[in-house]
Amino acid sequence: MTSPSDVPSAEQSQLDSSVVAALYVAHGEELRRFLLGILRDAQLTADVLQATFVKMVERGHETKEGSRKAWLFRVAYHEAMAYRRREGVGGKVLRRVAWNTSDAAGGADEPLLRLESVQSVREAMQELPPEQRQVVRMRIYEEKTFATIAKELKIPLGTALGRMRAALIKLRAQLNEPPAHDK
Amino acid sequence: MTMTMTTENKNDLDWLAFCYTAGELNAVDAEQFEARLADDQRAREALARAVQLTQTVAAAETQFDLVMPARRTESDWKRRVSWMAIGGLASLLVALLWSGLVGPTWHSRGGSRSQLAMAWNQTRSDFAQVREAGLWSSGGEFDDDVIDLAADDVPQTPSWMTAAVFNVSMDNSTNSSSPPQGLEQE
Repeated sequence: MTSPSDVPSAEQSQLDSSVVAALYVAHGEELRRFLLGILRDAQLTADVLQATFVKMVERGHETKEGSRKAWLFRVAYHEAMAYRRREGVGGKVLRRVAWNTSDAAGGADEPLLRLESVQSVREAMQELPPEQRQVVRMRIYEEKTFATIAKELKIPLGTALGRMRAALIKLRAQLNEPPAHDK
Repeated sequence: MTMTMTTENKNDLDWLAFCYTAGELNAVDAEQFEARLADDQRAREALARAVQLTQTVAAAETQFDLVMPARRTESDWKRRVSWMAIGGLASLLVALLWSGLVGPTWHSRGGSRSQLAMAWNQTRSDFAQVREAGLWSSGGEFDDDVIDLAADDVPQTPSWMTAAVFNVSMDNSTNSSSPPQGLEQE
């Protein structure tokens, strides 16, 4: 027979709120971007993100401290896929991410985009070769497909893809760097 | 070599994640990538990076154009006002100097010194004229108190007066480089 002291109380069966808060600060933004990549909708992303951290509160005590980030991503992934199945929406419908930053922020108090990051990328954009910068703008800003870009620029599809890929590598390298005038 | 391979793999994964995000993968490849997200933490993080980069680039082309010009305009305005203020003060100073209402302290001091020197010189020549005209009576009761300016023991003109008169001379007569008469000593 189990004594009352052996049964964990509600508080003991939940992860400490300060630990969950620290996890949110550390991984919340990255997790939101990951979910947005799957769900392509800011509001759905916010809902699933909240559900994920609720699960962390409820079951986080079962996890090891070093594996909590991966646990969060795994739970978020399954929550997102379950949501998509329930709502009957798939990748074909959710073709692209809502690039609009106001949609992407989803009313959250944590901005997805930081001004310094935007400035760094903007500076990096200026340093790109013109042909790469053109493809980046057409693909991301004008939201044209690579096939359309290749057709409009009268270049092979592989060339358009190559320019985009080379540009992304440079831009990504700059993304987490401080702006040039701050160095 | 290992480092290069790691970098290449990371770039490949980032590119795959970007293509998935951009909707550029066909249905089969997209499903495969989504299945990979179930277990592969690196792929999950690559997807998060792809979303971040894409949104940041989009913002750099739109939002930043709206935000930064305002900040730039504000700083430009302050800089412009500062330069205008500096320019106005400089113009005012030049105008005051030009009008002679104010001037450097050395200039006014030199002016008063030259005026003193001129007065000294004038007094000296007046005494000489009086003496030459015979208007000066010697042997009076005040003889002992009178300084004979024509005598050899006449007090020498102070050097600062000479210098001051030279300055006046240079200022008043650019053609004449010789000092005024009677002040050649020293």
